[in-house]
Amino acid sequence: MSDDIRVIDSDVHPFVEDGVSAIFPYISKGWRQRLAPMAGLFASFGARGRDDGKPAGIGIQVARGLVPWPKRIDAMTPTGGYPGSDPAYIGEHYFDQHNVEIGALVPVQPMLVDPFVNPDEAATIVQGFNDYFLEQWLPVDSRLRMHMVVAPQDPLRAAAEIRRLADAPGIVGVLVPPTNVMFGDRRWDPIYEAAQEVGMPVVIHPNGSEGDFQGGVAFAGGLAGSHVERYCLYFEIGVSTVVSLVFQGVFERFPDLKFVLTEYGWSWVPALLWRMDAAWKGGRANVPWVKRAPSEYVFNHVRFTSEPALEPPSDAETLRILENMHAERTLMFSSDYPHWDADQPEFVFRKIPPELEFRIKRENAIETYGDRLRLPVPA
Amino acid sequence: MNDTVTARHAFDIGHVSEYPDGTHKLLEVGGRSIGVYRTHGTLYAVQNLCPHALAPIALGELQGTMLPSEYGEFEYGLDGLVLRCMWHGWEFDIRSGETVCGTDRRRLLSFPIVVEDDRVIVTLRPKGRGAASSD
Repeated sequence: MSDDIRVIDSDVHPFVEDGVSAIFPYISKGWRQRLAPMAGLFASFGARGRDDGKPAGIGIQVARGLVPWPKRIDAMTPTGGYPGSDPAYIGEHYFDQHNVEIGALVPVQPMLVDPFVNPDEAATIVQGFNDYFLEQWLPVDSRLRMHMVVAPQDPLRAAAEIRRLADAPGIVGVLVPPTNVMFGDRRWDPIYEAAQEVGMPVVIHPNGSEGDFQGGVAFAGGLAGSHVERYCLYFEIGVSTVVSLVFQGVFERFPDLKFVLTEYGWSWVPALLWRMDAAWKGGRANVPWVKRAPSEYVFNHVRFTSEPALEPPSDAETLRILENMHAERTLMFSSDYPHWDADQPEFVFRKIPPELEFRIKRENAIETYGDRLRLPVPA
Repeated sequence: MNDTVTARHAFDIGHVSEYPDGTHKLLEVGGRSIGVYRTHGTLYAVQNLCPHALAPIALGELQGTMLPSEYGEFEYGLDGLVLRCMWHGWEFDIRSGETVCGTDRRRLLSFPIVVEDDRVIVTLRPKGRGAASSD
């Protein structure tokens, strides 16, 4: 690759070893009391590579069988901490060695509130994590940025959280844990309205509980029988999301909104857009609020992240897909560091035109996240 | 190959007692990072570089894996013979450097390793397949 590209990475995962107890200083005394019995919650991803015997964070995954993905022992901290648990070491082990100028954190642990039945409990936990990362992580390395997480149970309260953190330096996007309510549903409008107002993209990322509980994201056709099947099916959620956003008119209602699909793949985008455009020509009257070709909304409003990058039979195939999805506007590099299937920036998109590589590994993220991405964060 | 060239590529990496069965070491030898494993009594030396995405694969321990089996059954095998990369999960048979079950044609680079007078000697001449101490 062009070694001088200073990479912007839109998906870096922090891990908080202490789980929910880490946020206790950031929530009220009453909530600390209420959450005390859950202090160890999210303290591990259970079988996801962790072997210290701590209880599982994602119980259902354990029920399905031990997650077979490997543990990133190369990314463990110098003191033996879980990969991604030390912001300084993320800088040293990843940013320093791969010419990463900015890495945006995608905190998975707070997204695990998705099955909670109590909306205030969920909202309190994500608020605590947001403040925890702001205070404990961002000041450690000037290259760190973060997505705030909002709870999906109460979109009005989520909108209030977005506005509360509108001016917090270092927060660049709004992460919404997916549920079985499609993202074109008007239920989400308060979140979109607030995100548009503060100028942040809405971002979604798999939360680890897809297909695991009533109310969780449903996979097409039924439940996946193994983890590897599940892994191959995440793109379905991307497909459903794009179809729903466009045909339910989200971008007509919120003309300045940007929506980022992180880790749902991208090689399927051209085929989907061809189908949507063709269907719209005959089915437009079904959704008369859709005034332009569906692909146009996608090119203008929807962004995709790159990891896991495709391993196609030939580079020519990759280039063809990138051209057909207008990757020079729509695709942003992501590493997924420090997860097992992470992509190193210098290992992907090596054999494409340099200008396209530059767009993917840097410029598209700057355009999507806006000025916030490059504003300095106070140490 | 004459003796001089061989000597230049052969490295004494310690007494055989430093390599108990079931253990492994990560070493810098001749400017290369290599993993030396002893399993089922046999020594193996491999380059600390996964041929898929260049991960430091030799940080990992040897393990077994699930063999091809009938639907619904799990048959564990190759215990202590599989090196599985912590990036992307590719599995290599330490004996041959080949992927387990032929999932890909890329191979883990391995080096001849022998025991001479209780000294462990590794030869950093690239060789397509793993070499046992009995070579």
